[in-house]
Amino acid sequence: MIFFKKKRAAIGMQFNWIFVLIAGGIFLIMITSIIMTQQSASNQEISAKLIQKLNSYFKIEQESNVFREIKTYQTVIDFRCTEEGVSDYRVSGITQQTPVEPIFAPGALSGQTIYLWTMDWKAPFKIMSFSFVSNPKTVFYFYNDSQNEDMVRKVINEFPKNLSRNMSYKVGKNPDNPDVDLGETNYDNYKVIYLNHDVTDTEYPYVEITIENDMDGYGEIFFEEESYFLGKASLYGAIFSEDKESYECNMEKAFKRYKILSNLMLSRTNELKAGYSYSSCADNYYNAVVNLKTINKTTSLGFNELTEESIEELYKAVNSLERANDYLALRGCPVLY
Amino acid sequence: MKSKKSQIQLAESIGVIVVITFLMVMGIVVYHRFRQDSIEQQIREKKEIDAVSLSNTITSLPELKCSAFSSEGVSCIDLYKIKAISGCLEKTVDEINYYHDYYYDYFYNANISVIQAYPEEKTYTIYYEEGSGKNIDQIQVPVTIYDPISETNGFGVLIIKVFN
Repeated sequence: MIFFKKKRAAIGMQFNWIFVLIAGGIFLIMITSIIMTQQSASNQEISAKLIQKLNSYFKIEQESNVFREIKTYQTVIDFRCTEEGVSDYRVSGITQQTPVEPIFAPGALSGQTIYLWTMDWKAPFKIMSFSFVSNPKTVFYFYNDSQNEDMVRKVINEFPKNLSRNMSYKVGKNPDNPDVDLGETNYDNYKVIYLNHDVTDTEYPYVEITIENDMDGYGEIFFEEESYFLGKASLYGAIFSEDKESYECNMEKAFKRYKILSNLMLSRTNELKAGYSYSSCADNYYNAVVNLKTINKTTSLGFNELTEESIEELYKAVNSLERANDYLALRGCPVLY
Repeated sequence: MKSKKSQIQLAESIGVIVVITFLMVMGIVVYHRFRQDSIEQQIREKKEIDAVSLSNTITSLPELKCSAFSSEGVSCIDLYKIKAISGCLEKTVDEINYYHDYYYDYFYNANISVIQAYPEEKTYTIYYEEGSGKNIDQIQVPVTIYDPISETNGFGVLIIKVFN
């Protein structure tokens, strides 16, 4: 009888322990899940705040030539702009669409610092602000020799200080320590830029840019395939872009807006032409209409359809429009832009 | 007798766990309620800020802004630019649709119009897409409307209604 009572007490004790174990386990799981949920919510909140901050800087209407250093938590930002028209960036699983904002950036940026530089794209009137994104782990190598030294210096001089420190004239070498090979450093993104110079034998990603006239002019860009630039901002766009696809996708967005603005300007200029038909301003309005029609025709085809002839024709129209505007201003007539 | 005591002890333990669980669940529910209120408040504030920021952006857009030589101040809008964008000037349906599609990605559900009060009363609708939004945040910005042909300044109000 005593043996049975002892056994029953032992079972009771064991049952108590099992009960405490199960209840404790459930509490532990509950508390852990609450902590995990809170952590994930907090991460999402921080990412959302970062996206909100970046969005305000990526607006198409920004002050030109502003450099910003954005401090954030350790994160990875993925930028995407494809020929199918998908354009967005992603921070910790939160995706933000960028259907109109041209953002020239490497495919992915990791770390705690983001560099953001804005520049107006003008042709000849302001079309929109371009955003160039980079970070301390991104490096640009400008290949130079006596053949292109002046142009390289011109392009580099425009870079903000924080970005220009990540430059080197020695291809394949760490800019901080020229004796160390690039492959042995921890840079995430690097590219060799050949300005008005044929590509030398390189194993690194590169872009070859042939500038006609000056940086504000036009020219060819070669990312293993041919493309074009028009104006300084699009030249820098090519330097900052991951590849041809993302460069052309962003330029396509810019061209869409260029088409709208040139069309609106054409309507307005036609009104001005009619209003000033018997004055000394008339000829310039007439010229402006012709040039705006050329711009409109070229932009309607889209950036991807540009050819060597059409980019040259576009550049001439842009120059001619700028001259017409200057003449109008000199003669005291209402200007075009 | 002992068995009854054990049963009472077990019932007590279960009771304590139930009460603790109940308190925890209540705590979580109340916390989430407050958090949700705070998030909703943040969303409301963000939408109001967006509407104000949109009004600042619109007045500085090159498609509306007066040219550098005729600018009479920060909020100066060119009459012929308003006429062009609102479709008053020669425009095809395709062009108007193209504009709308483009600006939708920028303005989303909003009604942007300029009401000219002087020299003549006229309303120009720059963009309109109501969507399914019920709440409206409205911002009014007084603007100078410059006519480059007559070289005169008018006066009006830029009205931005954002549908949320």
